[in-house]
Amino acid sequence: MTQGPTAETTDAAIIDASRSDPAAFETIFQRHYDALFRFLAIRTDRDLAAEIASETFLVAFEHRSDFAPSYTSARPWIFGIANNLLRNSLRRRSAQKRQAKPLSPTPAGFEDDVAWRVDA
Amino acid sequence: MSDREYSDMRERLHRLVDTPPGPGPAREQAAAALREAISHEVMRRDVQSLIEEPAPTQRPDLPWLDHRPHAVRRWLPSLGAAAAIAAVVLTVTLVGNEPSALGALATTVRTLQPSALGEVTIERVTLEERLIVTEVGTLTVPYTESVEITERIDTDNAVERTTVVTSVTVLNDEDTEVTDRLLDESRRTTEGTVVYVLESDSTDYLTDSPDEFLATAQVRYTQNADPSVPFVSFLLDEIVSLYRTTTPTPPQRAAILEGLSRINGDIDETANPNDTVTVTYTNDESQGTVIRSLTFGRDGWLEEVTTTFADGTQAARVRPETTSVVMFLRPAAAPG
Repeated sequence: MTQGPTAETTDAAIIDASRSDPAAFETIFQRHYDALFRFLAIRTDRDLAAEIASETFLVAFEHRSDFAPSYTSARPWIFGIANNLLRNSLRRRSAQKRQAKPLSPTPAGFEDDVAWRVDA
Repeated sequence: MSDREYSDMRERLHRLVDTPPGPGPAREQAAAALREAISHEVMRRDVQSLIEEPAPTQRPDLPWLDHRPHAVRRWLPSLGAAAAIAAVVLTVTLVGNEPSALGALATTVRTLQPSALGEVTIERVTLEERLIVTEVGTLTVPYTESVEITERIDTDNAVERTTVVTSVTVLNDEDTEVTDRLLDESRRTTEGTVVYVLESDSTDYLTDSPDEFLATAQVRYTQNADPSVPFVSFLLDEIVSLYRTTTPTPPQRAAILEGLSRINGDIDETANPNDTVTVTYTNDESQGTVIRSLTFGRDGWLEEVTTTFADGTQAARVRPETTSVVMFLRPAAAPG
């Protein structure tokens, strides 16, 4: 039976181990979730922060083979993923808001203006 | 600092203060989502490993089926199905202390003069096979139709062979559409011929030691064979495949024959008047009996493989007493 990671085990070693033992990646979650949530909660509302934090670990798990083992800590990598996800999410939100606005709001006095032109 | 900047800063500070430090419903949900992703990956890997496990490459009783080009393979599902039906029953056993015909043949082969090893150095070996099939399966033809397929196998080395389908003839050509369709499919590939490469790992068997030969067979049987296929049946298939795809030397042929002769009680050996030896093995079960015979020449070459479907197989549309004969011609320069 393999021994689990200790507090001294680096993130790089854990991620490397998770390539053959996917469950090992949960340690990365335990180590960095709280910090990541705070990082996100400062930048957006708590609901979106929770959503992005969760998605971040899913993306990180999916792409763990991309993690450069030369970095001991995974925090910069995870925060980078989160930042990208947050940016994309905010971009989508803002696009949705733009779409929700009327395309050509009727200017004030438009009807009067038309009436005046017709009369003229 | 403008009012707007000041307001933003206050909002951020409030968020920072309000943010829970860690555990909470969101954290648990995120952990659950990650665990689910992990378990999916574990499951995917398990499935992948199952898919990647080496599957048996030979059909139980007709190993050559898998070496046929696609067009020909379409004609043969019935024989494959018939092969799958088989379970074991032995018809004849070796009698008392009588000398084994195979053992005697093996001794003869071992004493072949080195000068008789000419075939080993031949660059091109020509084998001819004649396979008569009655069936039809996927094609819309009555099972009473027969086809004769003649192949020429040119060998550049012991492992890979290029096989060219030289002719396809319908013996009972009431339905010529069958022939045409098969030929069309052949032509579609390479101007009237189907060229394909037989890849074989039968060279694993090539050894001068009968013990090693049997040990290899046992390992491969354990690793690759369907457990419902008897060892003897598997071994005979492997031998057919071996002679089809390699050119064993006399000591290697002797090892094969000696190894086969040690399968006491499972096969029937008959010494024929022309110094050849025929090994017969019968599989029988409720759906039909399949009798297979391998005839070895006095130099240890496999000369002929006969498969008889005694009861026919209804599911595979093989009539009772249908016999498939594959004749192996020894390499041109091999000793006669």
